[in-house]
Amino acid sequence: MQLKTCHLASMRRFFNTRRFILSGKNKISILNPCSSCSPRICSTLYKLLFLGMLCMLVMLLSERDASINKVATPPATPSPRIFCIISTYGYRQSTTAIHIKRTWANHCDRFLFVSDDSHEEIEPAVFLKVPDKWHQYRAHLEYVHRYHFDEADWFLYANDDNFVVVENLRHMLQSKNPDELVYFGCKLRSHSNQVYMYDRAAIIFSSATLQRFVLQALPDESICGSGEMGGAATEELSRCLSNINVQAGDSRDHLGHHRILPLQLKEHLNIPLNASLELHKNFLDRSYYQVENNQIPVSVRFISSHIEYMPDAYNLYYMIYQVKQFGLPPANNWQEAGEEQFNLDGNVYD
Amino acid sequence: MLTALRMRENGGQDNQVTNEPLATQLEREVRVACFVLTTPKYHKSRAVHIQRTWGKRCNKIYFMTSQPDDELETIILTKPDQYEVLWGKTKESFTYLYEHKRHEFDWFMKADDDTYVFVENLRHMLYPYSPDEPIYFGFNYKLFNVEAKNASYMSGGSGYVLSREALRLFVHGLNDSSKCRPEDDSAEDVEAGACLFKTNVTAGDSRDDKLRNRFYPMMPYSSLMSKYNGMDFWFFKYAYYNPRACMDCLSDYPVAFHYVEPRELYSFNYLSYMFDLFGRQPTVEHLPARIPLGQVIIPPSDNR
Repeated sequence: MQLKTCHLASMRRFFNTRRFILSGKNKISILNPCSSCSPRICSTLYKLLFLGMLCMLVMLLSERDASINKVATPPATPSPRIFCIISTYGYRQSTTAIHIKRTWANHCDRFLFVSDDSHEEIEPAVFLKVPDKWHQYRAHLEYVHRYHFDEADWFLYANDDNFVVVENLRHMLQSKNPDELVYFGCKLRSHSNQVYMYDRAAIIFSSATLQRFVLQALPDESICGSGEMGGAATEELSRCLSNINVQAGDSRDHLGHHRILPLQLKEHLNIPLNASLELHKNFLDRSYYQVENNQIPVSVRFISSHIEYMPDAYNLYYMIYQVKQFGLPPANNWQEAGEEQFNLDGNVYD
Repeated sequence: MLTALRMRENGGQDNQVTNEPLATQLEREVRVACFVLTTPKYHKSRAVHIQRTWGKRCNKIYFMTSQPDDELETIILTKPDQYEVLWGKTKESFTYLYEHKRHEFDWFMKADDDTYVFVENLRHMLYPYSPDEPIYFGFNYKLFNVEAKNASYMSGGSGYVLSREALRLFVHGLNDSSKCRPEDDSAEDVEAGACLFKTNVTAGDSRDDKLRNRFYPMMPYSSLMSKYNGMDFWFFKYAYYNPRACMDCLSDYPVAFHYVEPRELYSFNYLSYMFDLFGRQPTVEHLPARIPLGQVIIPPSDNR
C-alpha cells in the first residue's frame, strides 16, 4: 500500500465507508493529487477539483447552441411558444392545407391540422360527424388542450386559407402574458352588440384562456351553449369566452394599424373597400374599430391575412422570407413608425 | 454572368468611404431609364399605379402614350395607341430615348403596365456590365425566326433592359429593313429580339449565381409550385434555360415579374419597402465584381 496514513485519515473524513475505488492497489491516483501529508492541503485540493469539474460542466452546457444562419431567429429573451391549429376539410385539403404546410406552418413552434378526413402528408387530427362550425371549435380546442396543452403559451386557430407571419405574432405576444385571460383576432361587433372575432381570420388564445375554456366553459351549459350555431360559431365562442371573463384583446399595433386583416393583403393597401361586395360589406358593417374612408391601415408588422387564390401563399412566403432589395438598409419601419406617422395616404386611389 | 461570381469586399452593406447604403451608390452609378407603353384609357387604372410603386424608383420613368397626364411623365408618340402597333411604338420609344436621353442614362428598360420591377435589384444585376457593352437582359426565350441555332429573345412581359451601346446599335439597325422589321405590327418582343440579334447585341444571361431566374414572365408562384403548369404548357418548350419550377427556383434578388395586377403592385411594394419581419437577420452584401468590356460569357441554351 502506497497510502500514507494521512490519506486514509482524510479519506475517512469524506467517505464514511470505504468505497471500492478508494481501497486496495487499484486506487485511482487522481483521487490522490497530493502525496504530502497535510490534511488541510488535501481537503483544499479536493474542493478545487470539485469546483473545476463544476466549471467544466457549465462551459460545456453553454457551448451547446451553435448559431444557425436562419432568415429570422427568435430574440435572446425566451420567445412565447406558439401552437398553430389549422382547420381544413377533406374535400379541399389537398389544394389548400397542403400549401399552408409547405409554407408558413413550419414557422410555428408546433402545428396541427384538424380536418374531417385523413391525409398522408397533412396528417390531421380527424373529427368525424362534426358538421357544425361551433361544434368543431369545441372539439378542436378540447383535443388540443388534451394532447398539446403543455407545448405552448399561445394557441393560434387559423383556416387553411389564412396566411400567418408567425414571427410578427411572436413579437406582438412578447409583451403579453399567457397567464392572462385574453384572446386576439380581427375584432367585430355584431348588430346585437356582441363583440366577437371574425371567423375568416386568425384567432389567438392565451394558454390560460384555453385552459379555462375547456375545463370550465365547455362542460357548463349555462356558460357555453352546446347546440348547433351555424354561421354564428365565433359569436357563440366569444359569448362563451366573455362569460368566463376572457378579454377580447386589441391586436392593432401602437399606431392603431391592423395586424390581423379580414381580407387579402392586396385588398387593404390601395383602393378603399367596396361596400357593394358582400365580403367587404360584412366587415365594414361590423368592424369593432372605426373605419375611415372605407379602409383600415395595415401595420408594417402584419400578422394574418386571407388568401383567395392559394398560389398567392407562395408569393407572400417568397416575398416575406426570401426576397431582398439589394443595398437597402434593413427595414427599421417598426422603430421609425414610432417617430413619424407611417403613411399610406399617397396610395389612396382618387 | 458566371464571371460576376467573384465578390469584392466592400466592408459590408455600406460604402466604406461615404457610409451611404449600396443602393444609393448604385442609383448614382447605374442610371436606368424605364419606360412603359400605355394609353389614356389606362393612365388612371394602370399607369399611375406603376408610377406610385416601382416606377418612381427608376432614375426616370417615361410613359409612352398619346396624351399628357398630370401625374405621369409622358412622352407623346406619333404612332397610335393600338395593340397592333406595339412594335411600332416600341421602335419609336427607343428612338426617342436614344435621340434625347442617351447621355443621361446608362441602361434603358422597357416594361409593361402589369410588370413589377425591383429597381434596386435591377441595378445590382447590371452593375458588373459596362454600358458600352452591346448587351441586353430579360427572361430568355428561344428565338426561332433568325438563321441561328442558339438565338434568344427576351419576354416583353417581364421587361428587357438595353445597355447604352445596345440602344445605339438597335436604333441604327431600325434603318435597315433586312435587320429590323420596318412594319409596325407583329409581336414586339420577338421583333425586338430578332432586331437586336441581327445588330450584334448579345442576349445576356440574367440569372443569379445559383442560376435561378431574376426575370420571370409570370407571377412568382408559377415558378415556385412544381405542378402549377402542366408539362405540356408551351413555356417549357420555349424557355431558353432549364425551366424547372420549385420552391427554391427564384433568385433572392428578383428583378421583374409579369401579370402583376394593380392591387398586387401595391402588395409587392409594401412587402419590399414597408413590411418589417420581426427578428430578420441582416445580411452582409457586397457589390459583385465588374466584368471587363468584351469578356461576357453567355452559356448556351440547355433546354432541349
